[in-house]
Amino acid sequence: MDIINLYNFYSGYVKIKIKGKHLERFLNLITTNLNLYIWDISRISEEEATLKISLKGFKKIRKHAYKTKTKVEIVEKNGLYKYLQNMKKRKIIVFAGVLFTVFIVFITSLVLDIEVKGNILVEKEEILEKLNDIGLKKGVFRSKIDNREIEVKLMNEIEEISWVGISEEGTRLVIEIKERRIPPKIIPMDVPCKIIAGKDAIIKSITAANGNAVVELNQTVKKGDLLISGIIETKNDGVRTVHSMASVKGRTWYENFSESPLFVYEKQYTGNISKAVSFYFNGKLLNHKDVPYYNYDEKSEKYVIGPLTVIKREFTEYNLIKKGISDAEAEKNAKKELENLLYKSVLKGDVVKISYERIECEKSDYIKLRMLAECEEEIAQQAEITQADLDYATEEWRKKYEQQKAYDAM
Amino acid sequence: MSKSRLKSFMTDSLELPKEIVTDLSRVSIFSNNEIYIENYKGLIEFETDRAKINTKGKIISLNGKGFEIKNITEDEITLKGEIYKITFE
Repeated sequence: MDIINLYNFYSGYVKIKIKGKHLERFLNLITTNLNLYIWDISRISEEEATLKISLKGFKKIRKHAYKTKTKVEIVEKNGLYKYLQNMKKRKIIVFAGVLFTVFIVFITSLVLDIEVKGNILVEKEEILEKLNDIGLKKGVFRSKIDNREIEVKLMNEIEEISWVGISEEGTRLVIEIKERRIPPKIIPMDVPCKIIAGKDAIIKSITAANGNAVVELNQTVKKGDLLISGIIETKNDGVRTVHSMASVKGRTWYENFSESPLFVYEKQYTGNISKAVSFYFNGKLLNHKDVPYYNYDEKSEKYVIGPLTVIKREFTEYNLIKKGISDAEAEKNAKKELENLLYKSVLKGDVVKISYERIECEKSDYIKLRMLAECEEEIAQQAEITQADLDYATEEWRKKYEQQKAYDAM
Repeated sequence: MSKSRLKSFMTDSLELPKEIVTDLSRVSIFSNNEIYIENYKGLIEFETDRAKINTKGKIISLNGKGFEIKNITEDEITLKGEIYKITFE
């Protein structure tokens, strides 16, 4: 019954009032002769009744109404065509509705958000940047994304990733990542090498795992000096080369200077805020606004909608105010700076002693600090064995060998 | 064997639906609220408190309250309303 109602709604129907003495006869006539479907008939009075009839049927009943002397009067028109008629009067609303639908369809066909899951070692930004290079970013059409291709490309681009899974959750793209554990770097044992000093130092300990130590404890070495020779002399067969491995610790010294001002610049916000919205279309700037301040902080938000990029910027003006600080505070700043500098250069080792010394500074309003640090650190550095090294060692060995021979012959 | 007897024999022995083979009408009543008549011949009378429907051989006469015809086609009629009495004349 509901389906019939739906059909009638689409094709349109009318509610009519019939008036006459033989209404039953009229109904019998139109149902049997015209094969019509009539519904919701109700008596109003002795001679009147209302009923609903399809629009097509209504046009056919005229003759029979005349025959049975029944008066027919339309009470109400109904159906889809009526809505359509109303819509003709409100073209702008219909147009806006269509536009809205198109907009929604357009928006939902884009990638609006990218989520990266499962990354531990690889930064999310790095993955997003790589995806951007591949061609996957916010605002591209979802239908244009080839999941398989992107998975393979991303795996090739970033070595640490062993598996990539891309799935769509509505307009959001979820990129699931499994990282691989990178195997440790294997030292090529078959390549011979020697070990030289990486820094000026006094040798404090030598632990040679492979190779021939040529320096002694407490010996002063300069940068580049040979510590472990990768050349081993044999008794009878000349020299052979090995892959040297050793841990050599040496005492090193560092000297650094730092100047620190007796004042700081502080930001004092004036309370002036300027806002600007820039539009980019395909990377082209459409409008431009100059920043009205000299000193300012900038906050920006970026939105990408398809080829259109909108950047909202907010500028907060401030003035720089020079403020004096105490001598002790300036010294503290200088020490901090020097320490940072030191720990940057001493990577593999410990700092044994640090001493600071105040020295005269040429600039007024500044203090100058000298730092002396004593450290103990790893100084071993692998280096290639050159042909000259080998020639020299061979020559040495030959001399020794001949001497020995002469000695034996005696 | 007459025609009507043949028909009744056919429906009984072959278990065919009677309303299809014969042109008698099938009447279904839903509580006392709705009555559905298949294979009717015509509407004789229709008022809010009474209705007469012609079927083959019999006239179904209904007494009640608030009658309304839910739908009507060439051979089907559904009547809605509170039915008190059904008489076959």
